[in-house]
Amino acid sequence: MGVHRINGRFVGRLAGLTAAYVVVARLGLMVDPVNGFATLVWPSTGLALAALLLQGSSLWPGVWLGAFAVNCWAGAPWPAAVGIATGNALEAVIGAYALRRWAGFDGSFDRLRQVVGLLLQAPVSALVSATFGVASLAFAGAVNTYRFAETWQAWWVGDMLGAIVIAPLVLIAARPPRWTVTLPRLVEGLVAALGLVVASLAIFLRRPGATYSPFLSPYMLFPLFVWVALRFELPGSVTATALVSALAVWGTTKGLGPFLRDRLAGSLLALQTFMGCAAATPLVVGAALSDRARAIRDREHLVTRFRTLATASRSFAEANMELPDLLDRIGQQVVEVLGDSCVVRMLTENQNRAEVVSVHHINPQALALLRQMRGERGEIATDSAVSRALLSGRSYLRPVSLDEGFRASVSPNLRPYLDRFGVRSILAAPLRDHTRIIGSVTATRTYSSRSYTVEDQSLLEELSDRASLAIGSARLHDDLKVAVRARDDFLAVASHELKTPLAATLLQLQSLQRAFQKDSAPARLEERIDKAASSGIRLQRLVNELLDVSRITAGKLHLEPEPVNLSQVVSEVVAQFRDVPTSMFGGSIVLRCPEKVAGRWDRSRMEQVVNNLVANGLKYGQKKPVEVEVAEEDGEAVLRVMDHGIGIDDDHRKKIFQKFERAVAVRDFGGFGLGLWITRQIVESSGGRIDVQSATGQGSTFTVRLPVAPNGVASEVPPCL
Amino acid sequence: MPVSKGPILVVDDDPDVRGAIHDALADEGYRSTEAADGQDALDYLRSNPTTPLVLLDWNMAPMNGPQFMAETAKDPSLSNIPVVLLTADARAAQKSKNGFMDYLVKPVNLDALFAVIVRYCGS
Repeated sequence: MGVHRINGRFVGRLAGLTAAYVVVARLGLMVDPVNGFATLVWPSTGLALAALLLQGSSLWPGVWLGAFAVNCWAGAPWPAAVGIATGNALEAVIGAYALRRWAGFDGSFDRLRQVVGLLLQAPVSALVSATFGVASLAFAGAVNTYRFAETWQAWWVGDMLGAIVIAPLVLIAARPPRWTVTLPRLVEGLVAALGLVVASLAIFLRRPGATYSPFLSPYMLFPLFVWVALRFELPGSVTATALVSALAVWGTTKGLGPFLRDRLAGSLLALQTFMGCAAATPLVVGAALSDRARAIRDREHLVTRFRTLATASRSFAEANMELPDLLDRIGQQVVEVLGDSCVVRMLTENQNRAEVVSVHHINPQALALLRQMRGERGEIATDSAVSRALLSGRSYLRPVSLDEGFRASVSPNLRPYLDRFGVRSILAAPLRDHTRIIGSVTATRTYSSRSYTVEDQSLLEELSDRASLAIGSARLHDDLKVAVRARDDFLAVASHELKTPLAATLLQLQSLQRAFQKDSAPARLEERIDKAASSGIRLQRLVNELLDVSRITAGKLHLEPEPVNLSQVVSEVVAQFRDVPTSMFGGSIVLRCPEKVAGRWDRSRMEQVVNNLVANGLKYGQKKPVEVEVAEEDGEAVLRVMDHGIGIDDDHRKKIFQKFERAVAVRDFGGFGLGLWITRQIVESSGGRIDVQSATGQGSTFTVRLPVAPNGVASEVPPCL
Repeated sequence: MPVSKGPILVVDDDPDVRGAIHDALADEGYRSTEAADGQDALDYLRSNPTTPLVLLDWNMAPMNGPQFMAETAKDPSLSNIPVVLLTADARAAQKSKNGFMDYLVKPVNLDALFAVIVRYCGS
């Protein structure tokens, strides 16, 4: 029960309960009391039980005072009234305790367990009241000893029925179900009520001497109860029970209906027995159906929630880790799922401000007003929902009353929106990067919408958790892009910077070579200069490869197609290789080409392609002849370079056209592993394709196919990672 | 030594490259002088209009090869001086050939360089 502060509000409730108890008890006493005190139905028992369940058991003095007052009023001596009041108060306290403790009563009355609990506790707690009451009357001499048993029984059953019939009515009325009323349902409800009233009147107002009709038996009401229970669950059952009970009592006390017996006590017991069954049956059926309906609703709710989260996750994934798009999608999803508005904020670097990065609203006009918040960097104040989420790392649900205090607390940019649409309810949840808080998602509902629920709060938490993960990935992706760009920038600068001093060195070496040719220097010096020059040329080729890579990566590989005879290009390149002393490569080159295979390509880049492939063939050809073939097949120019060397295994064959990949160990064969990648870029930018067929130990055949028509020629390569 | 008109002007923003060309020219008995960019070269030519030949780099800052060519074209006293372009980008040379007497693709082959020099300055 806890300790209650005795304040004005408590006293008010106490007085209200006392008054209500008296009024309801007087109504009960109007219905033929047995011995002036014990009534057919004691509705106050139900009222007291419901009041203590809803408002807390500390209200028991209200029950006591009400019972005391009403019994004094009915003529009981005051010591007897004290006893009766104590019994009634105890009855209510015990009943409320039992329902809370064992029936899981938590404020709402809509479960089978609670109904069964109510039905089980009613006879027990009524024992207390009946015993206290009748004993008190007996001590005061207000009840004859020979009528003791009869009075006790009427008291016990009356209290029990009061608890079973009236308490559910009050409990349901205090928390009415949230049904959407549709016209067909309203009509059905009215028809059912009308049926119950008409049937009850026909049954309970039947004259004792009237012709017997089997259709006018009380059990004819049960199909109606089942109908109501099926369609209107517990609230319908409770209402039907109360309605029928009222009419049955009315009829019986007027001396009509099926329950008339020779003696009044017999009539009452017959009626009470009927009422007990008529109340318990629909209550149990209705509660069971309520349970079932709730289970179905819960399942549907879970399915919806699962779908919602799945849709959101997919949407976040579709942002492809692009942060601005992702933030936009987060707002969009939250608005779709929770309405009406969503504002996403990210913390600034130093964590003391939150920047608005995404704003959404279901209403375009509202969005226009709300958009002004975008880019705003608010300080983190301690009292806003956003700040609470940001500071505590927990979600926050806040109902709003649009008072001046709240209006003053929001940013000035938001006030026009607030004045026009109002805010009913705010939900905020943090965004996290692992454990660090990085931002927040806030959803608000305008005045015309319903407040958020705890369910909504947990849904926003789930959405924010998914959003957080996606943001984490997007940020990593961004970091990665920055790192790759830095690498590419470095590559561009480095290769460019290496190029110039190398050119100067090579010029100097050339000068020396010329000088030695003229002045005939010692042979060993001349040989060393030649070696230095040849190393320099190799270095220059590597630097040029790096330069090409950075050009291609930056999308700066500009091709200038012109009419080119591929046969001629290939012949020239092959001739250059033949000029080189065979000691450098060891293999010979066999060239097969028709006189002319013409197309529009970039001449110097084509030279580079042929050069790369032939050099590759010689390098990995194990000194066996390299066959170079040019042909025109199916309207395409085809260049084939075949070696009979080490070959490439399957795993490597897939990778050799990638950057920095090679099929063999660096220490055996030098180079950056860029030649084939560059070759592929040039070929593909020219609208062609390149592939390789190879078997380990038998050599490789590289085939380049190029369109001869100009329309396949791309002038630029798209930038790539 | 037939060089009577004055030294050849080597224009390149990289001192090592300029130096290497200067050395190579000196080995063959040609006098040369150096400029670090287009503006530097223009200043020199305005006071030495009898320069027999300019070896010009394409990419320089602040004044690059094409800008230098545009400037000399405006000045009748300079427009007759033969300019040979040294560039890594063969296409750039082909496209802008009109303004130049000749071009050499970098990396410069000294045999080709001297063939051009002999053409304009004699051996």
